[in-house]
Amino acid sequence: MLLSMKKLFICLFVLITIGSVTAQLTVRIYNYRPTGDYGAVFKPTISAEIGSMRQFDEDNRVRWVFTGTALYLKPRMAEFPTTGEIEDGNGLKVYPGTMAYKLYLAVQAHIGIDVALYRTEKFNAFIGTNAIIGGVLFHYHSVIPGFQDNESIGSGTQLGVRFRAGGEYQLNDQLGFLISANRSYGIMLSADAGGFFSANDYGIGVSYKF
Amino acid sequence: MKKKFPLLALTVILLMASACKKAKKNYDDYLPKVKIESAVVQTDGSVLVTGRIESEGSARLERIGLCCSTGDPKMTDRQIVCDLAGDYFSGIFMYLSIDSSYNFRGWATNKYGYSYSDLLTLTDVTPPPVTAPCTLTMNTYNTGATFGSGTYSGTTHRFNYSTTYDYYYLQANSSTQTVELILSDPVTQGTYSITNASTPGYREMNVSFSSGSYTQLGSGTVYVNSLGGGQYDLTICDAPWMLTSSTTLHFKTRMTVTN
Repeated sequence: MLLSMKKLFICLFVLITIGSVTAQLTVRIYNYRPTGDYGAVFKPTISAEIGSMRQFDEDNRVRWVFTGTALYLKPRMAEFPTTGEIEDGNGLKVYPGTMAYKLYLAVQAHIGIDVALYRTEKFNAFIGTNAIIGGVLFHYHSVIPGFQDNESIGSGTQLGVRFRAGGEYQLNDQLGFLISANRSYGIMLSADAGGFFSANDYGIGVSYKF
Repeated sequence: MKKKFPLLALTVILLMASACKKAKKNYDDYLPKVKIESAVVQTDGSVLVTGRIESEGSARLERIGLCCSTGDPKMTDRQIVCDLAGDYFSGIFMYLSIDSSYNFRGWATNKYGYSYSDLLTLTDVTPPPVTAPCTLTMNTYNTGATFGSGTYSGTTHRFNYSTTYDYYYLQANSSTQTVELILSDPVTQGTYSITNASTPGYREMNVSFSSGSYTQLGSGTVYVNSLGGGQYDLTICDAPWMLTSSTTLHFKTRMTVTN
C-alpha cells in the first residue's frame, strides 16, 4: 500500500512538473465536508491540494487539471455503536458492540478538465470534472463483547469522480486567485472496510505562473 | 463547443446538487427511535410489553426488540427480538418474580448502530384477579358419574416443597378421593395451564386424583385468586381425563390453598 501511495505521488509530481513548463502551480486550501454515510462517521476537516493547470486564453477554454491532496479524517465520535448477531438452536440473538476509528488517512490524485464558461482577460468562471484515484490507510477497533474483538489495520483504493465549479481572478501575468466548490463521489475498495464515499469541499487558492 | 457550455454547466450543477446529503448534526439522528408504549401483566403472570417505532433513522430498520431486567436493562438482558406490525412491536416476558420490580426497554438497529427507548418500570408484576368461568362450592370436587363428587377434609390446603423432586405439591383428601396438585413455584394469583408433565413448567400445574385408571389429557386452566392473608381461592372448571378411548372425564374442583 505504501508503495502504491509512493507511486501515486511520483506520478503526480511528474504530471505537475511536465505541466509546470507552460502552466501555473496552484495551491488551494479547502474545507472538506464528508456527506452521506461518510459524513456520518467523519468530521469535516481542513486540507490543502497542490496541482497544476494551464491558464485559459482566447484559444483555449478547456484545460487539463492535475492536483493531489491528503485527507486526515477524524471520526465524529470516539466509539460508534454496532451490533452483531448469532442465530443457533436457541434462536436469534443480537449483541451490542462498538467500533472506534484510530486512523483514516486518504491520499488522492485528481486528473480532469476545466471548461471556462465565462472568460475575460482578468476573470474566468469555470466548471470541471476530475477522476479521483487514491489510497487509504485505516485502523479501527471493533468490539462486540462475548464474541468479537477485532483490531484491523489495512488499506484500500479510492476511485471516484469530482465535479467542480469556481472562478479565478488573474492579478497579473503570474499571480492569480481562485475560489471553487467541489462535489466528490466514489468507492473505496478494501477487503476490510470498503464502501462508498462522498463529500463537498469549498476552498480558496492561489496560482503562480512559471 | 460554445453551444455545449450551458448543457455542460447544467450537468455539472445537477451532479453537484444531487445526493448532496449533508451529515446530520447529531449521530443519534442516524439511529432508529423507539418508545415503550405499555407493559401489562397478564393473568398467567407474564408481562406483555408493547413498543412503537417513531423513526427508522437514516437507514432501513434491521432488528427491533425488547429487553428487561431488575436494574438498567441492556440489549441482551432477557432479550426478545420482535417483528413489526405497522409501527408497533410487542413481546411477552415470562418467569418474572412477583417480589421484584422490573425495568423494560425497547431497542432497534440499523446499519448505523442501535438505540434504546426510555425505561418503563413495573414495580409490581402480580397477575390481576381472574374470573373462573364456573361457580363451584368451596372445598368440593366433582369427577363426574364414574368417580362421583365429594367434600375435602379441612378448610385450607397447603402446598409443601419437596426437596426430593424440587417442586411444590398439595394433597386434598376426602373420604374416597385424594387430589394432588404440583407446581414449580409457590402458588400466586393468576391462571395456570394444566399439564400432564410430572415436573410442571412456568405457570403450569399438574392435577391428578387417586381413583381409577385414566389418562390425563393435560389441558384446561386453573384459576387462582388471592383471598388475602396468604390464602388463595383455586378453581378448576374442566380438567379432562380420558377414561377409555371414547369416554372423557371432566374433573372440577374448588378449594382454599396456601403456601
